[in-house]
Amino acid sequence: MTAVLNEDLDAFRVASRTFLRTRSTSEQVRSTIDAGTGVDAATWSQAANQLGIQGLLVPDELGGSGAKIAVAVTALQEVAATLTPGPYLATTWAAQALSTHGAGAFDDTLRAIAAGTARIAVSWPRLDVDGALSAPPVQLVGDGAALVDGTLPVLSHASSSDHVLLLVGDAGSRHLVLVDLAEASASVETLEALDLTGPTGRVTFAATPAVAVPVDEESVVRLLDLAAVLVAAEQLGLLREVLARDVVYAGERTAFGREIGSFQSVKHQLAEFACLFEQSQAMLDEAVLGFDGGATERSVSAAACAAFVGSAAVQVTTDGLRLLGGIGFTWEHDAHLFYRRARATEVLLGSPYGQRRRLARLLGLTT
Amino acid sequence: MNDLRDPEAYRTQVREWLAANVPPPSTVTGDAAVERSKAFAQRVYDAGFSGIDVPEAYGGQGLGPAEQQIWREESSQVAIPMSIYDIGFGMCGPIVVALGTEEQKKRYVPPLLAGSEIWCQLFSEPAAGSDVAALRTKAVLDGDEYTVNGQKVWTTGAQFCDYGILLARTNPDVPKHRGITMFIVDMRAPGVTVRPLIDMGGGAHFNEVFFDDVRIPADHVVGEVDKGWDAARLLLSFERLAVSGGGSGIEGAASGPLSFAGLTAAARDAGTLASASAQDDLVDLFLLEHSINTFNERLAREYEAGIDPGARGSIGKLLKGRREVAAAGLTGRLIGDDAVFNTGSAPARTTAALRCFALPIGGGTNEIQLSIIGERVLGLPREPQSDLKTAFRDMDSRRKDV
Repeated sequence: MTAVLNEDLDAFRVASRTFLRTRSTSEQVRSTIDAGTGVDAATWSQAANQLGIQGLLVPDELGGSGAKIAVAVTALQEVAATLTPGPYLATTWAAQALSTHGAGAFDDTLRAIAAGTARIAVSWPRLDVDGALSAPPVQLVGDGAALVDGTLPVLSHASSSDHVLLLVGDAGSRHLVLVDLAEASASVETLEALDLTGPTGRVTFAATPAVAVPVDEESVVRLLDLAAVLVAAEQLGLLREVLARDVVYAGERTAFGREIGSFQSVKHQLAEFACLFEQSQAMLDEAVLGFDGGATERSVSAAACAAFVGSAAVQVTTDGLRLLGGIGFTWEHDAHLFYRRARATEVLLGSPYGQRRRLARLLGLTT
Repeated sequence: MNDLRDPEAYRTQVREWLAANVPPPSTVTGDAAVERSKAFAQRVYDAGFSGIDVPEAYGGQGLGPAEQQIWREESSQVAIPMSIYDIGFGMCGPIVVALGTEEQKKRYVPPLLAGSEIWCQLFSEPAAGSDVAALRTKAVLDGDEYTVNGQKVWTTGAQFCDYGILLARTNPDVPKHRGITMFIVDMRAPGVTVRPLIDMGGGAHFNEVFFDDVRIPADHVVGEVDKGWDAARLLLSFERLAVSGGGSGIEGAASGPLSFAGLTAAARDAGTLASASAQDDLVDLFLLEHSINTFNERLAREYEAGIDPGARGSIGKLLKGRREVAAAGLTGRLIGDDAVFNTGSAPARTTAALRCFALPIGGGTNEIQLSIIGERVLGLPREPQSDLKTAFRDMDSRRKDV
């Protein structure tokens, strides 16, 4: 069994953590939020050119790293832990989807992703409450060149991205579709969203030109599993960071003559967070390590992450805010930013009930 | 034979040996069960799987914690009659190896590893459980022997043990944790009386042990006189790792009656699996079990990478204890009448369900584990304790500040 822990990964973890903690401070994040851009362009560009974060899953012949998923999982934890705004998660998943399918049709976009000159918003493969993959309300129309038509009611990072990647169609006839948002027939209407670091928009396509490639169902399932793993990486980063900050606070804040962390009820709640962190991290490690193994095991591990890590992140960001007392409730403190982002990622891939139904099916509890 | 450089190969070797050597199931009890265990332990020893991380000079294999963890994980997945050795192998052996004199290690470790001598742990007392440093059993030096008087409780396996690791008070004039000494005690010495305690499942696995003027030679001290508290903490850390690292259920096998697999099968047979709510409960149980298994796998990888897990063994122990009680509590709704009104229909499941409380209470309660995680994993400050500076003989357990 190859260790997820190894020196190269450690070095990358330290490098990306240092970079993002320097470039993506709380002040920087709030400045981006206030500007309404959804991304800090300079940070995005440096992340691509200095660290190669966006291009991790782009093949090296197209300017990326051709790295293993473990590396992307490491990077995304640090992105989330710093609340860095921008479609890093979406672009990473898109890099894998576009490089695996299309036989060269997406090469220019992949080069641009690796160079930091393209930002991809993703209409995520989402599960309905029964755990079935539902198609977005967008169709391919037209005979010759691909055209898309329909409206995405909500899309994260719509106005901070230059492309949208969708998975359209029903089982048996699904397509990966890439649309350039510069097309005149594509329009984005900004919405208000809970996650201030992930602004959303409603996107309408009116016979908009696109590049579409068919994808078989097995590959769709693999893309769904990858989405679950990458989203869990973000959630783990949020969870870990809130725990770390709360531990610091509990060791500094005093009441009744001693540090609040010395009171059992506070200490024990933080210990519960530590358990949730270790459980989530272990499950995510296992999903990453087994990702290229048997498909059933891969799906069970990914579905377990989807069912567990999302609600763990919501729980820790929720209780973690509460444990800070009054200051946790203020706009000025970052606790609510973590809470908001955890709430968004919890439903990014559709219904959490559906994730559990999918797991139940994979475990043979139901058909 | 054992390949140090390839954990995967070692795991395969262990797994294959276990598969080939698991004895047929047996219903013997009492002395016959002990003999059956001893015979199997001898085979484990002869095959080179005993004392895997113990130096060869003391009868071990001289390998590392990674290989030991592999044995721990793999052996917990099969039904082998080794549970009477859990305390000896998991705690008593390791503490003698860590702190014992050369004479102690050479005398006690080889027969412990071969299974010919069985060990127990004598820490808890009626007035000292979570607060074990408040123990009252006394050891008074008289020439080159100590005279021991007192009582221990919850002593698992004392009824058939040869030796025990005993904590006793050697200095009542200093604060409680500074006047304790750890001893090796011969359980068949004159003055040692073992009385069984019946647990809520009707079994007699643990005991009261009375010491009436028991003589212990001074060279049976483990570590240093009055430094027994540090030795005890080290032993307890071994205990947590041993408990947390052994798979996800107290019954060991991944398909035991209270495992996710076992309860799913039982629910299917009972016709309850059709209920979406039942499926939901089973998904929760799966997630808890899966988190424990993957956590132990991660610990194994850390061992291989030379990383010390520290106090995180408490996380595994806490989660496992919760899993046991959660799984036991589901039998009524998942299985129905047979689990509650006709328990004779599945005796193994019934016993396992009633014994589920052993893990969240013994070896440090859930509350103690949470405090350990908060203090030693997260580094949070300890609570003030009013008796840390009081000499033991002046201690009064009732609070006086209100």
